[in-house]
Amino acid sequence: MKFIKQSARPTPKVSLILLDWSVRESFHLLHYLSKQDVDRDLFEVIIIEYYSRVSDAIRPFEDQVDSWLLLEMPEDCYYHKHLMYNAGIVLAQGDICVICDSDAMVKPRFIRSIITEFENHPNTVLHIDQFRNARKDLYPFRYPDFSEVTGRGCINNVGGKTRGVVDDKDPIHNRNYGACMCARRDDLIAIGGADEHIDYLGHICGPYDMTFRLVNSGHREIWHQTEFMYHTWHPGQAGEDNYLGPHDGRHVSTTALDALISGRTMPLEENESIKNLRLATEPQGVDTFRIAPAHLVSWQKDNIRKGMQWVAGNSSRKIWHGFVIDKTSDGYIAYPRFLEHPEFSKFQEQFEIHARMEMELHERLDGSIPFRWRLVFPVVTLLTYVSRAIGLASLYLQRRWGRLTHEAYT
Amino acid sequence: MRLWKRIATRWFQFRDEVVGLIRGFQLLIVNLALIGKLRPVGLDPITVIVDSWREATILRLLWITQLLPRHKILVVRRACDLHLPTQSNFGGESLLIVTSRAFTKHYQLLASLRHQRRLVVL
Repeated sequence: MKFIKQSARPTPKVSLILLDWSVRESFHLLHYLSKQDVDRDLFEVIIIEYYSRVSDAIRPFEDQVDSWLLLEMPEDCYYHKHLMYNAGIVLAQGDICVICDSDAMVKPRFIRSIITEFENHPNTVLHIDQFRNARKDLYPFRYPDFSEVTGRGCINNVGGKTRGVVDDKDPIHNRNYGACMCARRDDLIAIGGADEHIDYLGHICGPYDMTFRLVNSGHREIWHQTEFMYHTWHPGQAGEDNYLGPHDGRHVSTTALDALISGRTMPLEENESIKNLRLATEPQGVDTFRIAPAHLVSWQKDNIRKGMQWVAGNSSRKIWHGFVIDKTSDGYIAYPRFLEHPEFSKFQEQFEIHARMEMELHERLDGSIPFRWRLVFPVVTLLTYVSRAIGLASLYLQRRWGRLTHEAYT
Repeated sequence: MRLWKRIATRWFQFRDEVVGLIRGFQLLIVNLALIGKLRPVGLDPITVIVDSWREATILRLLWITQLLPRHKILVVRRACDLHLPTQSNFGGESLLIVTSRAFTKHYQLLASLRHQRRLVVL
């Protein structure tokens, strides 16, 4: 680890944590942070670089950067954003941590809005959604007006708000949880910080892992209704050719969703430095951030690749024929999910199936499920494929028709 | 080449999503059937919250064919459809079962129910 710069701000209220893993071409958020309508000492900017690159994209805005840390992870290690979140949380001196995109635009009242929101609702986790413009002529970034980003080419502007914020049908997929997440530093430490489990390696990850666990611990999730970020198109924004951990088909981590469902508040793999802060076993300080040596092996690119292809790691939890399969130190254990509910935990012995090997467990499960249920499974599979394909086709036609009629009208 | 890559990406996205849907639904069927076996006869019926009419239709078919125990179905497409479970008429002995997909879509409303009611998330 190496510091390029270390913060000298006396008592900031807000700590902005910006990440890079030697990929960012632009840090223009820093330009907009220099235009904020609050005292500059009220917030600090922390840059965490995963590898060792000293980015030239930051140099023009270097005066806006307070802390700049290179984690100096080996080049053969795949990136893990959650490790960078944890480094940022340890470094942060502000009461509120803000994890956000570094290549987005914000209005001058951005920091003020965050501070005001936490003054009004202290026990919350705040998210700020993002307008996204798909126009390729705005790349490379050329400082367009905010109205230009929300105008032609904007894919989610619904009457001046983002589609995600007004959506009540599927917010988890329509809102951009990674755009900007704000939470009190003490709350983040209390839930063990970001989860460093291998399931979050690469593109399938985000601060929503912490949001879900904060909600489980009783915090209220708020999406700002008037403050937004503004993002313009750049290549590689959808995580193409990235390693993907387990996800639900729409790039939301199933491990994070599982935490939400089960009510879990602590991470599967807690960072040692965060744990020490949580248990107050060592004084707070930037020099206390530690990276588990085991990560250097398990996150190695060679270990997650087969030839030229990335191979998704084995998640510790799987679903097979309606049963949950967990990997334990002795082997594997399968059980119906309702046993996790305290009301049914007394039936644990009756329904749990243990086996040393996964294949053996599958065989036992096949034997335990009545034949008529097994007949239902292929029918359900077929119906789901067909109905989903019809649903998507009709959605595509609706959008096409909408575009055609809109063009004809204008 | 770029077109093929786009098609392949879309296909993988579709396949992964449908596989997730199928797994979730299998989980619901197996768990519902097992819960039905465990519950004494005479208790209030189970209420199942799903997020799609497709799932609701298949569940009704399985109930009619007596593969699943008697249950009520509540289809929640939008957050505003969820006013019912917060009413007192969902108290008592009734067991509220919500699919993980419906729960994660509307967790801001349902997370608080977890502490108040007999809510099982599958």
